[in-house]
Amino acid sequence: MTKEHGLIKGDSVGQSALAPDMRWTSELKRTRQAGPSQIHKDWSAAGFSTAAVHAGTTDDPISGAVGTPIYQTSTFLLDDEQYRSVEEGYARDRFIYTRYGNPNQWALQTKLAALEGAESALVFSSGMAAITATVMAMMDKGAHIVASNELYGGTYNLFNQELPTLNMSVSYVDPRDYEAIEAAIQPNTQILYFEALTNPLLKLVDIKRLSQIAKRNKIRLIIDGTFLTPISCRIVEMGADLVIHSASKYLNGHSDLIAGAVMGSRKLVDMVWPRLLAYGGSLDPHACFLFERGLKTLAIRMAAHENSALQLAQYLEQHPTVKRVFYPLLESHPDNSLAVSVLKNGGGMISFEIMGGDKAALKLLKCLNIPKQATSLGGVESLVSLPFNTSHAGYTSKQRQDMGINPGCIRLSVGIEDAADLINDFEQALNSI
Amino acid sequence: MRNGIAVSALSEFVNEIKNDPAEGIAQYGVELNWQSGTRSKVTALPMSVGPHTVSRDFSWEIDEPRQLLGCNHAPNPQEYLLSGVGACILVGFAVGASVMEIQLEMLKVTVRGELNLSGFLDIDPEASVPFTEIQYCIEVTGDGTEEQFETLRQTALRQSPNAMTIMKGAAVEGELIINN
Ligand SMILES: Cc1ncc(COP(=O)(O)O)c(C=O)c1O
Repeated sequence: MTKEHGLIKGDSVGQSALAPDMRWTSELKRTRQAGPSQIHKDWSAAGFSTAAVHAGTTDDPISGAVGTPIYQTSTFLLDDEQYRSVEEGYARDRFIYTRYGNPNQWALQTKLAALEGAESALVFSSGMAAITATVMAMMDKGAHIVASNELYGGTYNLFNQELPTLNMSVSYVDPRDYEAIEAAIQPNTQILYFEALTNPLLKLVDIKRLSQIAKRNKIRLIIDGTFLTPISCRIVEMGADLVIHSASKYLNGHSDLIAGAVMGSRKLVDMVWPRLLAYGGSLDPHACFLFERGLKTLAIRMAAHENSALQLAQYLEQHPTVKRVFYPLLESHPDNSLAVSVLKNGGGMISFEIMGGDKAALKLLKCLNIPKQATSLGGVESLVSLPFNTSHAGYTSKQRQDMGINPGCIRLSVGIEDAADLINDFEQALNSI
Repeated sequence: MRNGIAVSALSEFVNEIKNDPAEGIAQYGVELNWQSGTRSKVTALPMSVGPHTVSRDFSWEIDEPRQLLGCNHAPNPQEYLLSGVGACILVGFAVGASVMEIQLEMLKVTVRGELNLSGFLDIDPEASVPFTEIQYCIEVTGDGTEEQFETLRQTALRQSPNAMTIMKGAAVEGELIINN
């Protein structure tokens, strides 16, 4: 029963399911709503930049300050409504304790959900926290996952080292071999887990096709969308049940914080929430503020990333020292036709192979003035690294070559610097090796 | 959470099924493998709720007491049947109490039944093969009134799939596969 209350400290749409004289479940009245959110506003007709700037951002009603204030608190004043929400299990709709929810997390989550066209989102203290909580929420005892054989190393470690301890198992398959994916499904399979664009060779997976396989087999499709963003394609709308991001990359976009996110239906994100609480990967309000500020410029940043990346990729492709270039919008890319049909933005990731192998690649990195030699991606500054001594250092050179990562392979996260400056820099560096 | 039941999530599920009845279809199965004598090992098969598979990594054994030619290593089929009925009534009672905002302190269900083995062994064609009677007893402590608990008892029984299967029966279809 909901008493008459004053201001709801939380989501006023989310209310108790109960009323006096109810006797059985058929009378329960609470239905699932998008959110939780302090303001419910439909941004579906708005463009990406409008939604990125405005969705979820809550001006301070007391002072009139524009933008979401930083609610740097661990806890909230409790009243009857808060106690009731805990008693009946709708505590995700109320502010109680910052690990459970905080207005800064909600502002971000509302923005992310609006950008993805999803009902609900959760933010985490890292991409790995988001992946762990999400995967565990969708698995039962003894469950099995069919996953890409080109996963991000941290995810592979979770799957390969942690899940077997919990009596869960994983089969790894080529993310573009749809027959092998379907053949790997077992009676206890609960998840298909893939990355939208693989690292470092930028293979584009066909999410619609994976979603059909998942539906046919009564299992859920989880996509790590880190290398792409909702500006490129809305992965949930394309049929994934949940999309996960390392927000440390494009979503925040400034290489200045570690965060993660998951977006999807309220039903499934509500199932992830108890795992966020249990595993504890909660995002601090101050980090939420930074992330919210970064997210506001997502659409214009992605346009700039794409512009510089495409021009640089085209330049590299015609350079005599460069053997191969991978960028989804290049006609030479193996998945170019899929990319052209599903991507509204090609993103900022390029990988390429140069003559002279890893030695020459190392030299090239030293000669570059603009891109910084660092792991990670998606920031405003260009970052460059070599798979052989970073992400894929654990493999032998033969194993790397079997995966298609040849000597001289370079991974480049193109920032938002001017294309002409980046091209000039690569020109001088390629000429001096 | 009252009684450990998330009524908000339950309410959302109920209303989801009202909109899309397919979400409310649950499919179950078990596989029994003969070990020796009267002993078998049961494995739960993957179940599904609505359009999703749920992994079931559970197995258990069933046996008979020595008097019935077993080794008495595990509960027998009748005890599993009775516990399935009792657990189902118990779930309904706890859920119903939560909907009625009753805080339970203690809840105990006992189920007893009697068989006449002359029926199973076909010694007496007049003797019944099924249980001749099943009795249940619900013992409860909580902040509900007597009237509320009586309502709950009736609802829990009426809404219990297992109790109602016993009372009303279900069509049983079978096949035999011979692997020689
Ligand atoms: C594709 C992908 N997923 C997940 C992660 C993990 O994210 P985080 O470092 O924010 O935990 C990364 C990080 O490099 C990544 O590249």
